Amino acid sequence: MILAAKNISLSYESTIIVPELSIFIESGEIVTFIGPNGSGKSTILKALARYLKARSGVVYLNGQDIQSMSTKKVAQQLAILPQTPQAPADLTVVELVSRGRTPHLNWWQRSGANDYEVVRWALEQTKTTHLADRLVGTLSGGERQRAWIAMALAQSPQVLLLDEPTTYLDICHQLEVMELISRLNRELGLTVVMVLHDINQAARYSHRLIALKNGTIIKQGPPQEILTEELLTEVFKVKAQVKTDSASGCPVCLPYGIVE
Amino acid sequence: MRNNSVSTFVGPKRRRQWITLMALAAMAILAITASISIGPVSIPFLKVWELLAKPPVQSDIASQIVWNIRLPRTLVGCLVGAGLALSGALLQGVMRNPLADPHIIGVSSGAGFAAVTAMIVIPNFPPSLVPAAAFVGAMASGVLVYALAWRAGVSPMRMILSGVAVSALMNAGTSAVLNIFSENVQSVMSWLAGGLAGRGWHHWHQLWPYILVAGTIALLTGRQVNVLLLGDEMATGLGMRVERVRMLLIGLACILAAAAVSVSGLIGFVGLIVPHIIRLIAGSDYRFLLPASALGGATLLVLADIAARMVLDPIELPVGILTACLGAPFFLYLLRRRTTH
Repeated sequence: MILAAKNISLSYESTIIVPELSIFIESGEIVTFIGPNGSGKSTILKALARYLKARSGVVYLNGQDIQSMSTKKVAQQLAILPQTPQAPADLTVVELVSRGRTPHLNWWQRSGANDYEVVRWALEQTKTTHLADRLVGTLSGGERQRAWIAMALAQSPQVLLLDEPTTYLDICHQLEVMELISRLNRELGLTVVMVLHDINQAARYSHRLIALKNGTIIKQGPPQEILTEELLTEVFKVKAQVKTDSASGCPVCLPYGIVE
Repeated sequence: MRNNSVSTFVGPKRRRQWITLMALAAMAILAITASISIGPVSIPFLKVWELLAKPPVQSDIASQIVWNIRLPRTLVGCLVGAGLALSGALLQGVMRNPLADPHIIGVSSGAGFAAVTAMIVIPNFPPSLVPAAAFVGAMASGVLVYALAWRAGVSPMRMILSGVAVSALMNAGTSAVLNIFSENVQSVMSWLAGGLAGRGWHHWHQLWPYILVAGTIALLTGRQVNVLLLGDEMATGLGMRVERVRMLLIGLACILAAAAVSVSGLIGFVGLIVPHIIRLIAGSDYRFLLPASALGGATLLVLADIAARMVLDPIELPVGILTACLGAPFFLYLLRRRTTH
């Protein structure tokens, strides 16, 4: 178990988002949270990334309480990509990716040969080497997302958390990002925990889905087992057909109505 | 292959940054020389350096002017300009807001209120202690803004809003004092407008320790600000203790600006425009932007002071008026550029 949340309860100010919840993530898994707006998906991701402190309960990273670890140590093992990250207008891709080395440097240290090597590797892995001296602001949506993933990779993490990595992308770039994530998982053994809105993509690329509603887990398990018409009705209040995609063998859902 | 090495990607930008720093340093030295050279008694450039190369000579008038009047005034101007510009650059980074400057954290209005109160309300307040009063007022005001913005952490937006509110309150206080004690307002007005007239070695001695210590630490925080510019969530993800770093940076900005205005009075726009000019020339990498802003701020203020002495000679304008005349149009230009994006 690489990442675990035990009986965590989460809130913003006094509004409780997640009453109580436990999650266990195995090393090498791709786990995706699905659920309607306001179901607490992003909030849980923030708690797993130690950005939001739980009111009660503990998040463990490799067996250690994440809040008691030095935040730098955490950053060497776990990277997060927020939903809408921001960057100065004149930042180039290679400068951005180099920022990923921050947790491996002390404040007086300059980047060394090893850091440049990791940055180059991260650019290669995400196929962004040819974009290295472009400005992040001038990239297309798909390229930009790959550049940010390269930055996260430069952290050399074991776990990567992604908050809706395909939102705002056209369908081709969505697939490109999902294929990239899937390949990083296969080839590097990177554990991935993400939030996705597209249920079919979630089903296609995840080992396990966690369906959430009002901060509570309704069901979790492999997509083939849990993605049913009843679940979609219960969680999303939609009527949908669930079929099996003959090309990938993954379940796909076709919504056709709203439950009144 | 050497060509594929990542470090070569960064090359041209790095070169541009170094050239800019060299150019700024050269401009600063020129401005300092001009500032010492120009005045009622004109002293040629070469003569200036000749006189500075040896200790002051009692019998030589030129040497006395250079050492006792123009050099300290110019050096105080350098520190004030550098302090304000560094403070503005730090705040623009921490707040991730291009319009942030030392006014926004209440430092200037706090200094103004404290200084005016001390000078007017307290009878026989020794003029030599005005900078101390202004410094205390500035720091108190900065701390108040920070405390009011605190709510399980300080968000930049809340900090800016509470800064605006506290500044309004302090300015109201200043106006009230000026109106109630309207008979001895003259001396205070020139302090409020800001200037370097009559600034000498004792001002320098009050100022340099703060600028040296806070400025040196500030120059070392470039990479931290760079990370902070990626957003709080990303910075946390990269292993930064965001709240602690933010407090340190705001604290440094507060000390730099408070020390500067306590000696010079209220000088506007240096903290706002200098970092922007530098950004336009050579980018927003804070490892470079911070030292470049310090040099640029020193240069601009010394140049503005020269202009303040020359424009209406023999009357001397407060330098704050000239930095505002330079700053306000630039500020508007910036606003227009931003809205067209």
